[in-house]
Amino acid sequence: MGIAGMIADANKILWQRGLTLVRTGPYHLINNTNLLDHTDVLNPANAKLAAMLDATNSMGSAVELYFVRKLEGGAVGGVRRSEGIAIAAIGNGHTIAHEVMHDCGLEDIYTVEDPGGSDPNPVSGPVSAEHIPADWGGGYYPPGLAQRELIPRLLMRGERFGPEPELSGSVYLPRGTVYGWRNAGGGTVRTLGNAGVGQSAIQRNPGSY
Amino acid sequence: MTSHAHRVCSLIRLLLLPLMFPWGGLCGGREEVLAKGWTLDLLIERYNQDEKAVLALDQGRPPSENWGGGAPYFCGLLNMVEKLGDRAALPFLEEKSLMTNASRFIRARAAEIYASLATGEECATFLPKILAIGNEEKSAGGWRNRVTPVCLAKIDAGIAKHELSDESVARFMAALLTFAQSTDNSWEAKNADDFLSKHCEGYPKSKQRVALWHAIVTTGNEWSREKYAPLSQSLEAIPPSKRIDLRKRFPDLPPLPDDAPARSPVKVVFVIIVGIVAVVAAWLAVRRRRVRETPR
Repeated sequence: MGIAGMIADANKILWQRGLTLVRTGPYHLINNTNLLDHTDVLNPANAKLAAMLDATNSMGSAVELYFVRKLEGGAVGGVRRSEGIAIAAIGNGHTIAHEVMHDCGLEDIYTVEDPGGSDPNPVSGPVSAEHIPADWGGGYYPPGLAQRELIPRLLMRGERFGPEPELSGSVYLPRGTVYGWRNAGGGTVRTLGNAGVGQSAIQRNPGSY
Repeated sequence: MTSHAHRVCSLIRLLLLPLMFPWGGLCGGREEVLAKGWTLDLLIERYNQDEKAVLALDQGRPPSENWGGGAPYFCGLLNMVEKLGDRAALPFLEEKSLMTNASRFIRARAAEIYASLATGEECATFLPKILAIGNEEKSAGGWRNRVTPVCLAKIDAGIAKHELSDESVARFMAALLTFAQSTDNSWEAKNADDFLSKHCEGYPKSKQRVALWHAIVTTGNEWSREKYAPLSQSLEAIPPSKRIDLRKRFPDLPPLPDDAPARSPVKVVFVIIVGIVAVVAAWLAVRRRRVRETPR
């Protein structure tokens, strides 16, 4: 799928917040194979990724999208920094929508503590008022629905772990916070808590610097 | 004594030096994975178990390029297999590299890791298998763009060190020549062409090489046509009588486009019968003429 198709797919999800991505400038092709693959993408000191994302500075007036081949050897579809958003070949419209909402200030939510661990430690318990305080009663949840089954419905779901449902079904932008595994303080250590994955956590319009 | 202790300390420091650099699995790779409780068997078991479940879940849905967003997870498991660096993973990695119903991203990752762990001899068997899988790209390498060069480099090094048997080299050469006759991907054609030019005697002036680049510049995209037109023209300049047909050495190679069309046995029989009838008719005509010319 081409970039235009991916952006159109992203817009189908972003309408929930009244957002529409429109291409405003030309595509720039960078002839530098060194920038095709990136590792250690969550490390703020990653100079190679920073250099690529700094190729343009829109001063917050536009979302800068950088399409690359691989992030973390194919294990990551997209990554967002204040300088821009990198989307790997493995990513799609859903990835763009997810990263754009990061730009608005939302955080990731996960069903498991450690997807790379032999014991992933999934979130336990049913959906309840405490687990979705602003959305309880705001929708229909089948009796006995587990919190682990609710999280995969959210746009800010961080990954598809194992045989969980497809990411294409993860489009919900709830009103408030949702209980699950989250990266405390933007770090990489996951803790259980109410994650800012809904409208209430939106802080700004998306834009890159 | 102090000097001796100093020398011992220096030796220890020298031995510890490699641990400071991320070479091999010493720095954070293998140990990091093992510390999380993984073993190769456990990773393979988890992978296969989840793959089975994802395939069942995705059945009947429209095909998704990244396995419905699951590809990063499976690539993550493969990354851990890579960090373990265990050659016992080769059969598992080969199976995943050849799994055509898996996402191409996963196939590519599995094949990359296979190539990184395999020997030249193993790459010579593996590469023809992945080259047999379709490629959607015409000018870039597509899903195997990081695999083919690594495998070729290992085979090249293996040949240089005489690690590959003559049979393996001949078998690989035949497979690569066959691939080169069928690919419409200029990038992969160039990889194969460079290797064959270096290792296959007679290839640089062969009919097969002329046909390969003629096909690329006539059927390829604009970029391929422009880039490889000079090479194709220089090959077309070789007089046909001086072009070598590699089928004498590799009899199983596919036919060339300018070969005479093959005749079916029925047509040959028909032609022979027509020939015999024509000879009989000519003989009868001569006989009649002689009879007529005989004086009465």
